[in-house]
Amino acid sequence: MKHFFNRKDTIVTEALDGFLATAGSGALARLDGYPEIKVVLRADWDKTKVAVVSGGGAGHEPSHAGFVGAGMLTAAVSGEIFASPSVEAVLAAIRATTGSAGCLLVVKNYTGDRLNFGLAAEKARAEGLAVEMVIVADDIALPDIAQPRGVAGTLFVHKIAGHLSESGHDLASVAAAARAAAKDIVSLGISLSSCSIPGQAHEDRFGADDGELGLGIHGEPGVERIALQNATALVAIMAERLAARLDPHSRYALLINNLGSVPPLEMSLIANAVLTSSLAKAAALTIGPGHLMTALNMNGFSLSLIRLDAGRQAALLAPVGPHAWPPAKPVSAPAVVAMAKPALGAATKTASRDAAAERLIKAVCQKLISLEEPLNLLDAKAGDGDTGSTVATGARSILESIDTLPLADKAATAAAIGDTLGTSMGGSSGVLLSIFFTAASQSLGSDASLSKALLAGLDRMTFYGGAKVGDRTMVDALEPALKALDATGVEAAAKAARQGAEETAAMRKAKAGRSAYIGSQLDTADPGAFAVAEVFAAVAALFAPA
Amino acid sequence: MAEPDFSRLIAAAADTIAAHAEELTALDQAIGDGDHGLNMKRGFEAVRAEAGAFAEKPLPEALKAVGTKLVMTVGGASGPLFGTLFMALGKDLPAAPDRDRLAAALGKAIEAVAARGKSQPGQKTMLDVLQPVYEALAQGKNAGEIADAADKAADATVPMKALRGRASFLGERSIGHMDAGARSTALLVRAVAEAIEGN
Repeated sequence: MKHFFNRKDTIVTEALDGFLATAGSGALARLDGYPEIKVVLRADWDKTKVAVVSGGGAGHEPSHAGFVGAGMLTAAVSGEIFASPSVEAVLAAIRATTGSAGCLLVVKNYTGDRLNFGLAAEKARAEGLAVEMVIVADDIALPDIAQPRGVAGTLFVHKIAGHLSESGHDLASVAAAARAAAKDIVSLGISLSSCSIPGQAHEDRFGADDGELGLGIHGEPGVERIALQNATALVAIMAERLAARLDPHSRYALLINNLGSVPPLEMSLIANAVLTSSLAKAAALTIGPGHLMTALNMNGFSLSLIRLDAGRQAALLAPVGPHAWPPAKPVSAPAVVAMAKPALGAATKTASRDAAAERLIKAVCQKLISLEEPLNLLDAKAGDGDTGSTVATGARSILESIDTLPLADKAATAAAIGDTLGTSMGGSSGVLLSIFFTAASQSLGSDASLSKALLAGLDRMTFYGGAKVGDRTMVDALEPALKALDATGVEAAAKAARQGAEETAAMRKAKAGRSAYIGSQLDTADPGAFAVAEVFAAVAALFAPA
Repeated sequence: MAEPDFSRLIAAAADTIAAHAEELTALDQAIGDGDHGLNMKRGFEAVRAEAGAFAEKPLPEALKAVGTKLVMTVGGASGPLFGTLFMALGKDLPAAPDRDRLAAALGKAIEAVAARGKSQPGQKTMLDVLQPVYEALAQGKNAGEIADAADKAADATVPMKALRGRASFLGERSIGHMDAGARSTALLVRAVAEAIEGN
């Protein structure tokens, strides 16, 4: 696995400095103790309220430094990656933040964290500071384990304790609320990969079709290996185990945590699966989905629930300073707004007949259909070989609808052709031609001549499409043709189109369209420009004196 | 039992940990979080950096200083646990201990580690090596035999199911891997035994 880093032994301090440098001035600071002491704390802290201090190994970002700020943590102590911080580091954080109101340590249940935070608490008490400690053990992966680990549900405790401290509660009541909250939290994680530590050899133990259920936040293997299956099925397994631990008569807040590298798209899909699972009826508030307590780049997620009462609900909903905390939101069904009806316009014009227009449209369409194979072959040299098929599809759809076209009304006919191409032809050429005819229709509606209207269509098409003459696109034939049509007539237009198409064969590089990805000399005409030349030739033949 | 220079013991311990850091990390990756080798190395290098100052103290004070250093500055679980082992050893050891006093002090130190980690032998931890080492010492085994007992005890953690530490989160899946803390304990026992033997 590749990683962005410089040196193994400065990863954490460099990351903390980057975090602080982008956190905005004034709100946060760090203690002057690098590299041993890695403590981020509120810069505006005056020790008049209960300090809420947490931390642990690094690799869980934004935990814990990301949650330092008004209404949450007073300070966060970081160790090295996945290693608990030292007693000295924890003690430094306590000393820096604790006044007469005292300090609450929020500790995830790992031997290292318990020992280092516990010893630091003992030493701080010996120095005369009032320190309480709450241990969070929210993981339900192993139901009968003596010491369940603490995972993402710890954030509920940070939020509740931080809110109570901010609103002026004393240490005893903040600690009591935090301990009660910790007892009412359940969490479960799942992953499709383990995580890799920068600069450390990594071998993913997961097979291609394996997942693991009940894993923690340090890359330690999960309790059970689980077959890869669809998201709804995986969520259902988790929901069943979590739901078994919930009180059916209570409402819960649900925290959806990205363990590292699940794309936001998939996290939203997971959120949808959770909120349509058996957990849905219990969930009153959601927090996330988001990166809250990660395990480096683990491709997994965890679900945490805390039983709500009025106090916890108010605490979870209260706004906070740290932007890593996503505001808790009441669960609500997705809002759906009815689509607006199209305004009355050209599209609603009734069919009418015009023999000359019908003859012209049929001639153009039949020509384009006959060019399907040659255009595909031309396109295959520079693009994906579908120009002929795309163009023929558009032409066929026009032919099929010709009896419904309001042919006696040029503007309405152009608009209808634009609509048909936009929906039936597909690809960028369908959209561009739709723009061409729709814009031409607008001009025709304000009494412009056909040639001026088509030039207006070209203007809009090149505006949205971005191609100019010389870019090896259909514009190389269409622009000179339409200018000649406007200035002289259809025969001159056909000549200009042919010349323009031939010139594209000598063009070195396409600057727009799919051919733009090929940088080499091509020696063949651009298929779009070639098609334009063929169409104008067919139209000129139609108008040629017999 | 001859008494080697304390700074030589520290060097032997730090050397063996440094030489086996990758192996310890690999053991920890299998059933833990993969930081054990790095943590132990960081800890014993911190001790090595002050070996000169430690060696000037009487043996009990030197052991206490090593333990305090490990407890206070290393972090992880191994810092406080190995630190407690050394601090407790120093607490109960006279300046010039004989075998019986050393065995008695080790027994007390094992109790202190067990209390600190809320653990006991049989739970796939460092205690599973310390306990047989204590017994071998108390039975009058020589340094080589004690080191062999430590290795054998570390091997014996392979089929155990972890009940403490991060490997305990794996449940049955922790079976079949050696405990990293047991291995590092055996490495330290052998390094110290050989340093004493070679003195």
